[in-house]
Amino acid sequence: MKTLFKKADFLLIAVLCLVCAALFLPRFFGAGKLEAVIYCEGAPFRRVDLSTVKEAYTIWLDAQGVVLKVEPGAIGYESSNCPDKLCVRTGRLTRPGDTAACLPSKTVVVLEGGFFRKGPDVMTY
Amino acid sequence: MGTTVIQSLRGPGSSATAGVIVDKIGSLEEKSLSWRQAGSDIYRINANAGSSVRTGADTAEWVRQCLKISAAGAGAFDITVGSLSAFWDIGGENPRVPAKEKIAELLKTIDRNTVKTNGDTVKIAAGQRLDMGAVGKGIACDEARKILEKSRVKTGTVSVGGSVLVYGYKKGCKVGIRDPKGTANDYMGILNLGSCCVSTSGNYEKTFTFKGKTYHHILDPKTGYPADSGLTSVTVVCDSGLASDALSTACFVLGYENSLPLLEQYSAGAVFIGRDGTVKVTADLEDRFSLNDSAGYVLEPRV
Repeated sequence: MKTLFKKADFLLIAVLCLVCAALFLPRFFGAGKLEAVIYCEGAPFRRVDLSTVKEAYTIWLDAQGVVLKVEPGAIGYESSNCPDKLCVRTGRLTRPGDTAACLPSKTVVVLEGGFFRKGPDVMTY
Repeated sequence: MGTTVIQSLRGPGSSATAGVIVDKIGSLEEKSLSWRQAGSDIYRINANAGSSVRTGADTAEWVRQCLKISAAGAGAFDITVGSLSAFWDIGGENPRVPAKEKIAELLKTIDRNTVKTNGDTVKIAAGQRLDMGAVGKGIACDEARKILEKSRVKTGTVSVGGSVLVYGYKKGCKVGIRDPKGTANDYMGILNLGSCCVSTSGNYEKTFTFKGKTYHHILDPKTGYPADSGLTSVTVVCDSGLASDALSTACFVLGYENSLPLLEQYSAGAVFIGRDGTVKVTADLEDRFSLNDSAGYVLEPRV
């Protein structure tokens, strides 16, 4: 009896499904809003939707002596008056759940939202 | 420490707990560990060198633990380097290369055997200074764990300036090791870990350049100069934050071969990155380490 599908056809369909999933799933699940919440002395100061940022810009927190750099999908300390500048060397926060606190300037940056975490959960340096 | 704390906590009350941890780490620096902060335990010990100083119970105990690790590592890690590190001031506002005569003079102040502790009191020799900078972040991880154990947080990571506490995981927490050639977000490999503490000492963290030569901040207590054991970084994994932090410094100074007995003594594992781009991993971490192939390092098989 002649079958509608051969074994190779099933394989092809499976591969096509996988390719489609790889192409389209990130559009649905990767588009989650990634928001940075900046706290000064314990109080929320500003919210930045990192998922809509097209070009890098800076936020000056004059009273705290801190400059934050905002980029598409990322935020980080660009400069600070703190003694050893470790907050600056920490680099960019990119993943939901990341929280950076510069103790001397009493500033905190928290990333909220998003769906995917790429790479390591945490860095040692 | 003046450092950055990055937390990722999951479970009920995680935001409030994160705030408690940040406050605790801030007070650690102010009240206990900073040699710059007037009134802290370490500041008072240094200011009263030659006399006994009553400290917080924790501070005296941390000093004792440091002295033990120092002895185990034959002085490769030594908290009495304070006078030497303060003179170099690498990472500070006035970094400088001391003259040879000055180095010789400062080396005389480095001696763990002259540090005496009795209960809550600590006494150092006149002219000596303690520097807890090599263990402050690890101690902060230990303190964070104590807070998490009393909270309802289920799992999480706390990074204090790159020293990491992995909490509540049986396995599966991916800890990236910074690529010494890249920025703080570039990783050369990943350790897949359960609950533990992870610390890294690298020659890229604090540096300054003088007359075309770059000096890093990890000083060899034997020579008085930045350690030169052929490594660019060492990452140590063990149960204790203080120990992982101290051991990463000791191992950086000792080099790969000389570090192995010390690591074994503390049931610790390590990843060594050589200046030549080779990577060596201790046996207990072999199955948990994966190299980032695009970073350009070569993983050496264990002999």
